[in-house]
Amino acid sequence: MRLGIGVRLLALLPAVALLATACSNGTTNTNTSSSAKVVRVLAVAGPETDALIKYAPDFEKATGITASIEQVARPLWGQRKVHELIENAGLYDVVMTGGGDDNLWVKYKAHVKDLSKLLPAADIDQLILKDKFTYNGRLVGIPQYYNFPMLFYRKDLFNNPTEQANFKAKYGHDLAPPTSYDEMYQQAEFFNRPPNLYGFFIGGVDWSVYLDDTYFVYGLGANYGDPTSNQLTLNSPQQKQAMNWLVKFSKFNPPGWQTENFFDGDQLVQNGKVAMYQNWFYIWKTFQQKMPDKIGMAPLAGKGAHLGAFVATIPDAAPEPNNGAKFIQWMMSATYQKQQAIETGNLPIRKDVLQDPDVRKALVGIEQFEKVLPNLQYNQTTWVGELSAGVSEAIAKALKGDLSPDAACDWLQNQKFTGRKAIE
Amino acid sequence: MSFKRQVRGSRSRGPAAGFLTWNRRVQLTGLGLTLPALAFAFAFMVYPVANVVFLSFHQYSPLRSADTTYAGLSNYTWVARSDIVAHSIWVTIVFTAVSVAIEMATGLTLAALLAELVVESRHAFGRMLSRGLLSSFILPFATPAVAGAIAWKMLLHPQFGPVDAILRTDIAWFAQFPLASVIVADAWKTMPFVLFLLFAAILSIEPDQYEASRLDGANRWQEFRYLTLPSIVPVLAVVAAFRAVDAFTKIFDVVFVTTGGGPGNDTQVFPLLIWRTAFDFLNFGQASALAVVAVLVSAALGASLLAIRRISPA
Repeated sequence: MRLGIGVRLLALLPAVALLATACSNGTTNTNTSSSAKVVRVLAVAGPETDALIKYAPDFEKATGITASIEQVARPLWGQRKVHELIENAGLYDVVMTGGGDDNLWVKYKAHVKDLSKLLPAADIDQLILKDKFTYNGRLVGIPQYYNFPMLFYRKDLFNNPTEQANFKAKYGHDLAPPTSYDEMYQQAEFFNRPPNLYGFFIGGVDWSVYLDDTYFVYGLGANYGDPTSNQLTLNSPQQKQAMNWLVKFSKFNPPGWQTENFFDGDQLVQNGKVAMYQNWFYIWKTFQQKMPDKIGMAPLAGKGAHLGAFVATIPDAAPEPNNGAKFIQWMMSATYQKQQAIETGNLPIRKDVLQDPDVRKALVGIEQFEKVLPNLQYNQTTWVGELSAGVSEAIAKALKGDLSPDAACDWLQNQKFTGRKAIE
Repeated sequence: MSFKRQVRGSRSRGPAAGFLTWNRRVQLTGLGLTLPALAFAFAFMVYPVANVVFLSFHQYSPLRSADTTYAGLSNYTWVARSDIVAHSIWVTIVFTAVSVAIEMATGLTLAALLAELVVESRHAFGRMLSRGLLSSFILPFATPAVAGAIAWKMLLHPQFGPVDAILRTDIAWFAQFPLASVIVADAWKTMPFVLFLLFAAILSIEPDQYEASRLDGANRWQEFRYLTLPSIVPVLAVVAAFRAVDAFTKIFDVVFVTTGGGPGNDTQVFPLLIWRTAFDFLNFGQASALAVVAVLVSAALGASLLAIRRISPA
């Protein structure tokens, strides 16, 4: 007897169903009783996550909870964070956010748990810069580490007696790590000897030039918005000064800087092409290993510095918030903090670990870092992605000479972002 | 019994022959077999496009509000009025026109030369050489776009790049000639695609025609001008249309890696602007409107090139 095609198709259905079940992702399975044994962490692919991945087995061993740390590509990280923390997607128990540029929207917009109610008070008391992550009495995030920009300079040149004598003869004061932008400018000018050596480096790619702008803006005590009045402050006198400094320093840059970023700056410094630049201190460990006698480090010449951190939050919609809390508790434990500081060179977030002799020995120049810690700033707007693109557009206009630096700031405030608010 | 005869037989039996007629069963079976493909096409083609069109008429910017609200034509008004959008479209059109022109010219020249080499090679060494040359052209096309772009960035680096070292200059190619540099890097990557299609088209021309033309006293240039070129015009038009649409809508990796859209917005091509609007600014309504415009422009571009093909004398 021959079966009809329809009947044969029906017979295939169980096989198709089986295949579909096999191909479905594990999210469905996590709603079963096994879900209590997993913590799902949204992180970014990059060095920020390396230590978490490396030491996560310790967490799993201690708690019996499997740490499922998803590393999303950096360009997609922003959208994924927002999807979890604003749109309540509910896929993750812990969402890692950026420090300086995410901080304000996380405070004002994100639907997150108050971590002070989920974590032991003794641990929270150890947290350095707790206020930076507290809003209306709620602790919205716990950083994994602190990192911020420092000034890196050619120590061998700065300590060279001939250079010192020539510098003093020209400028009338000693050659030493700068404590003001005027001094820094003189030094960049002094060491600008193309094509072998260039005085300074600024990353020209939009996101990188924005970061360089923040160094001057925060250094001059300014910011991009004022949450109190909810106004943008893009053409304040300090903002105009910052833009002017940026344009002035750009003339000491090596050719091609307009399409480069601070990672390219790292290469140029390592190849002896640049006398000094401002950059995040992740690079310090490399300089220490490869050229300890050549590169020195000092706090930035300005007052403030850009806060860098990798901050753990627990979404309101987290499937297993208690597992998330256990993960963060482990992340901020003295043991892990010591491990990650020695491993990565980033500053620990705990007061006790900061004083640990092993950590102080491993972090060369920790005294310099400690000087900067109280002065860390972050962007005071909730839409940094769009704002930073506008800032880099204004910088491009100033650099090309289409607008003066002052006019570029006015354009930003009065045309580009007219009617916009600091917190939207 | 053949399938045709079975069908005829079932027709003759009429509705009373079973619960479903044979024709009906064939129709349902056909539907059942195509249903997975239709579902796939709907899920991965129709739904995303429909969703983009839907979002283009809505305000969806989760950093401002988690709600998606109807915005009428405001996103399209923004597209029409924005200087950045106009500049980006212009940059992309220039990029597309120059890039496709370079690819077609070099691709055609190399395809003709290679075809000549392959056809005329009488010795084993000659055949091996022609095959080796032909194979080598696949390398840029097979290289991942990002890897190729990084290679070009290193080649043209003003401090450490070999190009400046050989030329004894310190030209910052991607800063001083950003669009031209990006075009060269992209043309290097995609020209082999053009080359291979045109090479195949040239080889498909009947050899008798060449013999006849030679008997008539035609030289190589005349053969190319009056025989090869007219014979491959349809392929040329399709390849050019395909590349133009592809260049306009998909140029991203090379620009992202080499210039990041800069200096300023000098190389901010349209796909990069769409990506930034969506994933940097998280303004999905405006990004969707940009995407719809991109589809329309590329469709118009492709259609016009294909129309040229139809009215061409070939």
